[in-house]
Parts: sequence; structure tokens; C-alpha cells
Amino acid sequence: MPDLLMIMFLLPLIGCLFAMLAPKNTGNAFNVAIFTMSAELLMILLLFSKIGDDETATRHIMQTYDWINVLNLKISFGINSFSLIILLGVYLALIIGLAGLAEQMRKNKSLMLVMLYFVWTMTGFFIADDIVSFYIFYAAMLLPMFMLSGLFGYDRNTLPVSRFFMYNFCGVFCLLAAMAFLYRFYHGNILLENIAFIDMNKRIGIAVWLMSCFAFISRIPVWPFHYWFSSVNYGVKNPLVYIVGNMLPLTGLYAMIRFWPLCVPESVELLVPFIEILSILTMIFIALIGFANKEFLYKLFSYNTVYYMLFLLAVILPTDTLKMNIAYSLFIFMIVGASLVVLDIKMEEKNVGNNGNYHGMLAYMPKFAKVLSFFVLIAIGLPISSFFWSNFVLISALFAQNVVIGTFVVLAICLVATSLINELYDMHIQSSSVNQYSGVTDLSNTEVMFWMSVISLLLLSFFDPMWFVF
Amino acid sequence: MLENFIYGMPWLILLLGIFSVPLFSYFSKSNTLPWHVTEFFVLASFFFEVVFYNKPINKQFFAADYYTLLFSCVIYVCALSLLLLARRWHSSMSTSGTLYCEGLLVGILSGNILIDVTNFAFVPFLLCGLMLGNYLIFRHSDNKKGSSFGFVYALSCFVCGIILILCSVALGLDNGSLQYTDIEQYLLINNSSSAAYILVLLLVFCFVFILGAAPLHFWYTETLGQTILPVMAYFTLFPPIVIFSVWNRFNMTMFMPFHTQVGIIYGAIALLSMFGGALGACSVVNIRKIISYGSMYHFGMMILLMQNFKSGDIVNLTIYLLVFLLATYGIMVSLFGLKSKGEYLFMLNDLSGAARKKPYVSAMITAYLFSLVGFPPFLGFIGLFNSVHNLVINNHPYMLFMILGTTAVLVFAYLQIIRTLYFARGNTVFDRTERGIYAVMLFNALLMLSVSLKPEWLIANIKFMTEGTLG
Repeated sequence: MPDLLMIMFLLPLIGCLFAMLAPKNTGNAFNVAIFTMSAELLMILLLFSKIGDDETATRHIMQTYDWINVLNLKISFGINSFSLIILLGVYLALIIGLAGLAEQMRKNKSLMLVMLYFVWTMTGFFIADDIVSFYIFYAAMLLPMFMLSGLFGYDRNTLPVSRFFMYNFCGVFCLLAAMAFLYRFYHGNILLENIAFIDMNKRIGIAVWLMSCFAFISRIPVWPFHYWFSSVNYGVKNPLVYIVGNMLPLTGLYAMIRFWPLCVPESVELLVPFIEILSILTMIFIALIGFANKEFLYKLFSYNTVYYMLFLLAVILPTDTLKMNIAYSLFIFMIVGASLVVLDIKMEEKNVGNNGNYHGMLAYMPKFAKVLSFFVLIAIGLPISSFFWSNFVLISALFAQNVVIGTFVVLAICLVATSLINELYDMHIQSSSVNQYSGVTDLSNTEVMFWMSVISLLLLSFFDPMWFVF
Repeated sequence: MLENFIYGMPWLILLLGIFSVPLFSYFSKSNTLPWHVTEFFVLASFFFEVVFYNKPINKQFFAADYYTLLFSCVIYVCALSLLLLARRWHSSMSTSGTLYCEGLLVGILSGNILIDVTNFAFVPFLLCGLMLGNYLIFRHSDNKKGSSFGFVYALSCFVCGIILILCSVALGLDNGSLQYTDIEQYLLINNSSSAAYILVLLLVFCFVFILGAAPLHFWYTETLGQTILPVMAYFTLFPPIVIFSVWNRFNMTMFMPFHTQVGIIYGAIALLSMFGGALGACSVVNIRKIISYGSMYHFGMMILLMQNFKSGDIVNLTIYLLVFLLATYGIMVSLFGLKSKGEYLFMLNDLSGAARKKPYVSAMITAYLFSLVGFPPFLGFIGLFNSVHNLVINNHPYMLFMILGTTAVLVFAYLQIIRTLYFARGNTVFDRTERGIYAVMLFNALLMLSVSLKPEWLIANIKFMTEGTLG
């Protein structure tokens, strides 16, 4: 089993090497990326088969590596079903992003290289078990993210990407400072689950938790830190870049889940109401913006933000039983988010010069409209995937904790759901001149097959979120 | 006598080199001969230095241990690497580099003796020797402005040298002995004496001046932004090795009685250099100036690491210094690979969109820049982590936040370079990069990669070589 974990960790790097050696302007690097991602998926399924669908929070420590003995620095890697299912969601979302790339982009060797490097950092991040390796991968993923957004995301000014990088860099440094304090009090590297038990004095405890919280929340689009998320994701023409950008809040959320102690120490308790208030404010504010905006991509951004806030509120609830529900929700959320953005950007590509919008799409792109409708229905939480069950449990738990918070959460979710459904309604509106779209091609049979397999994966999760574990 | 002569071979060879290089240059028409002669003398000296690493020429005045071996080796490797780059630069420009070779040989000789010496009587002369080497390299720069700065530098060096010699004479007359350990005892007894304190401060500021750290950085950043690339590489890489190796020894001996007062001065110098370096780097559009300001920041960081006067600090400082040298050398090599119409580029605008035409060079610059700011998973992370850990252990939380703040500012400056290389659009037509440059770049990258994977090797050896001797 440790070997499997190491293979899974090293595969993207090997993929990077092959992609680097691939000739320019051919699809070879793309093939390497697809092959690597598929192999990673296989590894995850194998790991699942080894650990089963054990839903406890216990991490299966598999690998410890003596990195710097002089500093008592050992790096530990481990995994459990919770991390694995999120990682699976990440890989699937990236595969969907790769599949949605335009032909010209598929021949871009640098894109594949940076993407595989990003996959490596993500894999390391999700299997990291100690504070140092966790920090290393938490920080390391910023560089490929920056490169992907700056090089392949825009045709315009890249200043927002630099701002986003700087902003996240400050968050990373806060984590470094927190790590240095933890390292001092523990006299060495510490496993993440033991952090809450370190005996620190109150002032230092507050400082450490504040710095950690800032580091993680800087990645989650909570007000007033939400600006980067919209500025980076808005106007992106490359689905893969959008998906990668959308994964950054996931890393912040995952970090919160790994750090946030179940038995909340006094120093952490102070922060809870602030996070709750900020999350609710952001949810309502962004949901209203999405509701008022006409662009689908912006609505999608609003949808993503609202759901990230919901997950954040669930994470800070004083219970451990919701962890797997959050993981199931995130798994579907990643896939659905990726699929919707790929479909939207594809639609824009197909509608080039035809004022790309969804008006009357059912008439001239019926297959496309049906696939999109399916994903929208899953996204808004209808009972056709495990998203419905998991969200139901999360929202119920929020209501049980605080009725006011629960009410606001439901209100925000309803708002984003309405704005997405509005797009479905638009598809039915017969445009005055349908003929102008006569040249627009619908999805090919291969594309339909691809999307149907993704939809089947989601539908099957309705019966068992871990149906693929044998 | 003969024994001492043999143990002194490394220095004698360098001395011979200093006299031979101008002769070879005078009698030969070839531009490359002085370089080969210099390389020969440096290699021969390096060989004898390693063979007689534990044999001092005179036990009373010189030390020969693992610490001296470590820094001597770093000096030789750095000098050879600089020679390699400078030779390429001069052969592409078809100019003679005799003065550069002379300066480098003088620098190596003075630096090597400075590392070994344990008697203060030699120090002023050796520091003057080092500054003379620096001055020769300044003069070598064909840029007029660079040469005028060279004059200012020489004048400052002269003043510095006179002050140091006067201090040495005064100390010798008062104490009788100028051995470091004897001076330490003397200062321990006279630690309330303001004259003794001023002597220590003068030495500190002399080091600060040679390094080019704030507040005596007036000659450093502006000049290096305008001199030729080999000169810039020399000033960024060579003097810090010599100065920090000597400074460490002083900290563990002569400066120890004043550690409380001097520690505060170190903190102030460090913060000034870090703030000045980071802010300065943000305000310029010349890549060489950005790197120079960045170096100033890193010198500040290294000075900060010395402020606790503990033997563990030497280990942290040495690790940080080596990482800095590797990464900065990598950047220098990469800059040698960015040429257009025979001219080496240094303005950010000229490098717009370089990543499209020079993807490997740009990727290397990016990796080295991120390494310099301690970004994981690059090697620089080890240096930064050590420093941050050191500050927390020594209860300097406020200093920690200042470091992180200034580093963030420096990152912004480095990001400017990366943005220009990758995201900007430009029409510069780049010359073909020589294979030798790629080979050096690859070797440097592999070295950094291997150390990143197993830093234990680096840290344990440095710990063994430094703590065992100075600690």
C-alpha cells in the first residue's frame, strides 16, 4: 500500500518529464497528461480497494521519510477515504477540463507541463500528514496556478493574477509563521491531527490560530477576501484554468478541515462567530450579485462561492460526523462545476460571432441543452445525485446549530439555484431569428457519450456515494 | 621552514598567478590566454588547499580546520564558476580580461588568508587587499559611470583601510597582543570602554561597506545595475563568502563581549538592508538592479541570523549563504543566456515575452527567483525555514513578521521579472544561447534539486564543519 501511495505521488512528476520531452505543437503532451490522470484515477481506485469505504476519520499512515534528521524533520504521507474521495473529485474535474480544451490548446506543451506540476502539488497536498509537508504543498501549488492563469487564462491584462498571487502569498507566509511556532512548541514536525493538543500559552495560541485561519480563509472567497476569486475567474477563456482556479478555495477548505480541531480550544472559539458572520454575509452578497448578473460564467462563480461558504460553515460545526458528507458533496460539486464551465465555454466557442447566449438553445442545440440541463439540475441539489443527500444533512446540521444561520444559508442557495434555473428557462425561449444559428453545430456523438458517462457517474452516486469502491 | 613553505603553496601559487597573468597578457596576442592561466593557478591553488587543509603555515597566526576548509572550498568553487562565465562574456565581446583575472586572484588570495588568519594585525591589510581586488574588477568595467563609481569606491576603501590600520595599531599598543582570543579577553575586561566599542563598530561597518548592505550601500546597487555582467556576478557572489566567514569568526571571538550591544546594531542593519533592498527592488526596471537590491535584502537576512551570537546561528547562516550563492549563480548564468544582437540584456522591457523564445532559460530564472524568496519546494525554502525557526526559538516574533512582510515586498519585485518574461509581449530577437550556458544551468539546477531532495547532507555536513570548530 505505501508503494501505491508513492507511485500516485510521483506519477505526475514522471508525466511532467515525459511532457517536457514531447515534441512541440503535437498532441503528445496532451496524451501524456490524459494517460497520467487516468493512471492516477486507477491508483485511487486501488487505494480505495485497499482501505475500503472506511468512513472514520483515522488516517492510514503509510509512508514516513527522514528528510532532515538534524532538525528532527520527518515527512509523513497518509490517506483516508475522506481525502481520497476529494482527490478523486479533483482528478475527474481536471480530466473534464482537459477534455474540454480546444484543439489548439491541446497541442500546447507548456500548458500540459504546468498542469501536471499542479496535479503533483495537489496530490502531495492531499496526502500530506504533517505540518511541514502540508505547508510545502500548500505553498507550492500557487506557482502552477499563477502560471496557468497568467499564461493560458486571459487575452488581457494579467495584473489581477499577480495581485491574486501576492495576496495568497501573504496567506502562505502566515501559515509559515504559524508552522514555526508549532514547530517550536512541539520540538519538531507534528502530525496535523495532533496540532489541537499542543500546549501553548493563550496569547501564542490565539496568534497561531489567527495566522492559520487567515492563511486558509485567504483562499476561500470570504468577504472581504473574495475579490481575487472573481477577478481571476472572470473572463477566463480556458476551461482548465477556470477549473484549476476553482480548486484553490477547495485547498483552503480542506486545510480548514484538517486543522480545525473537534474539541475547539479557547483560542479558536473566539474566531467562530466572525467566520460565521463573514460567511453568511458573503453568501447573501454573492448570491444577489449572481442573481442580478446575466453572464452564465458569473452565475457559476456566484454558485461556487455560495457552496464553498456552506461547506465552510459545516466545517466549523463542532461535530466530526459531517466530514464524509462534506467530502461527498465536494466530490459532486467539483465534477458538476467543471462540467458546467466546460459546457459554457464550449457553447461560447461554437457560437462565435453569434452573440453566444442560451436563448432558444433547445431548438438549435438540443443535445447540448439536455446535457447542460442535467448538470444544472444536479448542481441545484435535486434528488438525482448524492449531492442532494449530503447537502440535506449539512443544512439540517446548520439548522440544528443555529436557525438564523440555517435560514440565511437556504435563502442564498435558493437565490443561486433560481439564477441557474433561469438559464434553463432561457433555453426554451424561442429566439426571433433561429435561422441565424443554422451554422452552429451541436454536440457530436462522442461528446454526448462522454457527457453521458459523467452524468451516469453522478446519478449512481444517488444510491451509494462510494459505489465505485469494491 | 620547508614545511611551512609547502603548506603555504596555495597562497604562493596565487601570488605567482598575480604576477604571471599580466606578463602572459603582455606577451601573448590571444585574449583567452590570461583566462586559462588564471584558471590553472586557481585550480592548482585549490588542489594544495584541499591537500593541506589541516596544515597551517604558522600555528600561531593561522588556523587550518574544517571551517576554513569549508569556506576556502566555497571561495575556489565560486571563483572558478565566475571565471567560467566571465571568460564566455569576454570571448563573445572579444575583449581582454586581464584586469578581471588580476582582481579575482587578488580577491581569492586576500579572502583565503582572511579566513585562516587568527591575528588581527593582518586583518586591515587583508581587507584592503580584498578591496583592492574589488577595485581592480571595478576598473575592469568599461562603463564610464561604473569607473567613476570605482573611484568613489577606491576612496572609501582607502579611508576604511586607514581607520582599520589605526585601530589595529592602537589596539596593539594598548593590549600588546593582537591574537583574536587575546583581544576577546581584552574587550571582556574593557567592555564598558567606549573606545573598544567604537573599534568593534568600525569593524562591523567595514564589513557592511564591503558587502554593500544598508546603510553603506551607496556604491552597491546603482553601480551594479550599470556595470558589465561578470563584474556584477563577482560583487554579488564573491565578497559575501569572505566577509561572512570572517564575520562569523569575529562574532565567536572578538565581538562576543559586546554581543548585547552589537546584536541590536545587527538587527538595525539587517532591517534597514531588508527594507531598503525589498523596496528598492520594487522601484526599478533594470533586472540587474533588482537582483542587486535583492542581494542587499539577503545580506540583511544573513546579518539578522548572526544577532544571537550562538554557534547554531553559524550553521543557519552558512546554509542560507550557500543557498543564496547557488540560486544567485543560477540567475547570473541564465542572464548570460539572454542576449540580443550580441548585447546582454538588462532592462525589463527587453526581456518581454522571453519565455516564448527562451523557455528553459526563463523557467530557470523563475525557479531561482522563487528559490531566493524561500518558496517551496525549491531549495531556498530550507534556508528560509531555518531562519524563521531560528527567530521563533530566540523569541523574536516581531522580527519574524517584519521578515515575512519584507519578503512579500521582495516577491512583488521578483514577480515583475516573471511577469515580463512570461506574460508580456515583446519583439526582441534573442541570440542563440551557447550550449555551455545550458550545461552550467543544468548542472546548477541538478545540484539544487539533489540538495532539495536530501538537505540532510548539506545541513549535517555544515553543522559538523562549523559547530565543531567555531562553536
